[in-house]
Amino acid sequence: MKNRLKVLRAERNWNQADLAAKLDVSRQTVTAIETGRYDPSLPLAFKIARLFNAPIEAIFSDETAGDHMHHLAKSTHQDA
Amino acid sequence: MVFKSISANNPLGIYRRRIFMIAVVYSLSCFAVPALISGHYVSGAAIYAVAVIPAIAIMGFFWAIGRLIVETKDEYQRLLYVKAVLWTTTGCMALTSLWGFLEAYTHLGHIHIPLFFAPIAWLFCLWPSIWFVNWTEKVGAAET
Repeated sequence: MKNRLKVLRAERNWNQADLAAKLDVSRQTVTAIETGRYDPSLPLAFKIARLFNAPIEAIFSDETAGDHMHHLAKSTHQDA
Repeated sequence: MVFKSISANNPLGIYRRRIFMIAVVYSLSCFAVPALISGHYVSGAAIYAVAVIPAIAIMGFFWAIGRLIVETKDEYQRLLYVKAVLWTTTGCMALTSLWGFLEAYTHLGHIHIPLFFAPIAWLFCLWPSIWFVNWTEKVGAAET
């Protein structure tokens, strides 16, 4: 999954330690999420969304969703 | 109190305190159990009860590791602990499998080491595994 966490954090002039403290996680966790090496659990994703006052899909985007939609559209077209 | 400074919200601190207490029991049992049995201070069914005391202490180590994973609130850190446990288990199981089959089917002689060395080796390998997993994560973070 891709995310805009680094951008949103930078807009608020927060460093990783600030964000980690607000989310009650370690700085290592914030780094891992920002670099895309770790996808947070749903509860943490909701917590992040609440903190930035934005819907989850405005922060996280599914990289494979485009391909999935393409295959879905293709199969629907073939069925018709 | 030695551990007064350890916060109740610090799972790693609680883990270290538990490990220290279990290690004391285990160390004492390693000296006391052979002394009690070889000195004929216990007999009959009591020998079995006394003989398993170090094993119960080893079970305590595994319990403490399990509690550390359960009590760690930081989900990413918890994942790293689980990864380290899996690496350690894989390494120890692979090594003991290789060792066992080499003993059974080759001319390599049987090494007379009690079976309880396997869990002890596992416990000693866990912290290097945690260090390794953390190091690979740091390297991964630096590269991205």
